[in-house]
Amino acid sequence: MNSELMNMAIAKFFDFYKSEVEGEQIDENNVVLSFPIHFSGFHRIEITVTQSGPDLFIISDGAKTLEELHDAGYAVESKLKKRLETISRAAQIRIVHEYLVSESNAASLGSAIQRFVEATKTIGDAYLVQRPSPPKDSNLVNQVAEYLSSQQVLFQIRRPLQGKIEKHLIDFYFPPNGVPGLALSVMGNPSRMAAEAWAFKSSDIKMVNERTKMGIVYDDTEATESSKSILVGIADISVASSEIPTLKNSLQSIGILKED
Amino acid sequence: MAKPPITRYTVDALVNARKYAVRVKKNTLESKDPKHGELLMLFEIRRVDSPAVDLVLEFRGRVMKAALPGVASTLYPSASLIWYGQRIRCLDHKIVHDVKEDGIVCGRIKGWHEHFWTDADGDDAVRPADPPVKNCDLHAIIAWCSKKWNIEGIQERGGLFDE
Repeated sequence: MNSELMNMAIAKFFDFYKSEVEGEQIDENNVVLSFPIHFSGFHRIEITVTQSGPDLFIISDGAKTLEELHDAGYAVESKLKKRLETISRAAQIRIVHEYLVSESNAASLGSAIQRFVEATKTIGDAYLVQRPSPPKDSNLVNQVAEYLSSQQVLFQIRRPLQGKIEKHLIDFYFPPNGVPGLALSVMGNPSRMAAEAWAFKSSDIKMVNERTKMGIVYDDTEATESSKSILVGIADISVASSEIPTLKNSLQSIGILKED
Repeated sequence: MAKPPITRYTVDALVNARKYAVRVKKNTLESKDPKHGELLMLFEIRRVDSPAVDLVLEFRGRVMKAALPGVASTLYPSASLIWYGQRIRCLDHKIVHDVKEDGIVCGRIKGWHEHFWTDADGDDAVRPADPPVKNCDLHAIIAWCSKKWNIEGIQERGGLFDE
């Protein structure tokens, strides 16, 4: 019974696939095949199979994969091309101009087509699946700026600050003036990587600005536990976006704002 | 001009309105080594009744430059109308294109088809090219789209011959 079910499922799958794969003969040496496998732009994967010798076949994508990337808004420059070449190489595919290209003999043509389609789909999955764009920092920056203005705090916006290794751009800077200074950054998308980068920035600035405290305002709806622990652990003052009014207490604690 | 909501109603109204090509923004048809292998014509489009209003509307006609010796070219030209960076109409060719309605695949179209904007499927919605596309060169495709999408002056502005 079980093997009957298996045979039936496989047969049905092959029937479906046979009915869905479409072909178009271009000339006696070239055929285009269309597979029921889609890029995220909902275009089917189409490949060209060319017989260029008695036992030599060229499989190519008609430059459609890179065209899809281009249509999806990716700048297909050398860096992305190198990445695509790495993905393709695993499936023995080369990128020639804008084409994905593979070669095969008659005996392995079936598996070569399967491998080619799979690699094309992988590139589509890796680059074409629509991802929500990360939340912009700007809204949170505006909120913090408005709050600081309402508290009548004088601050400098987007000021470069020299660290020991390199220069860093700070969202809000309060220069030391009888009280410690504060370099306050705003992070709208606090991924772990962003938190680690900020931790580096923080320690680099502190190495040459001993009197400057490091502060962070982060979007707590987007923060993971690990990124939160890095930010809170490193910062002299850290404030979650849902608690911006507590920024007042933090500024008071380091003397930038006077106690009420 | 404030960005209008892109709905089927607003898109259809815009497509049906009489429009004209204001200027050529880009033309790489004569380029020997085009970027990304793409030969492209890009026009800024405005409404005939509001020539001073920038609609942020572009018409793009393009074809990839064939580059693989020994392999038959399957590169068909395509043309699209782009509103605020969003494709709202497109004429292109695929061996087969699945037809999607409300997110569900419900049929197939072979060959030339027109993408149109719907509220449920965005620009994934497709229908067969009507009238059928007779010639497959870029000039013919641009002429088809100019007529269908009510855009005047593209051939004249782009230095193309009328089909």
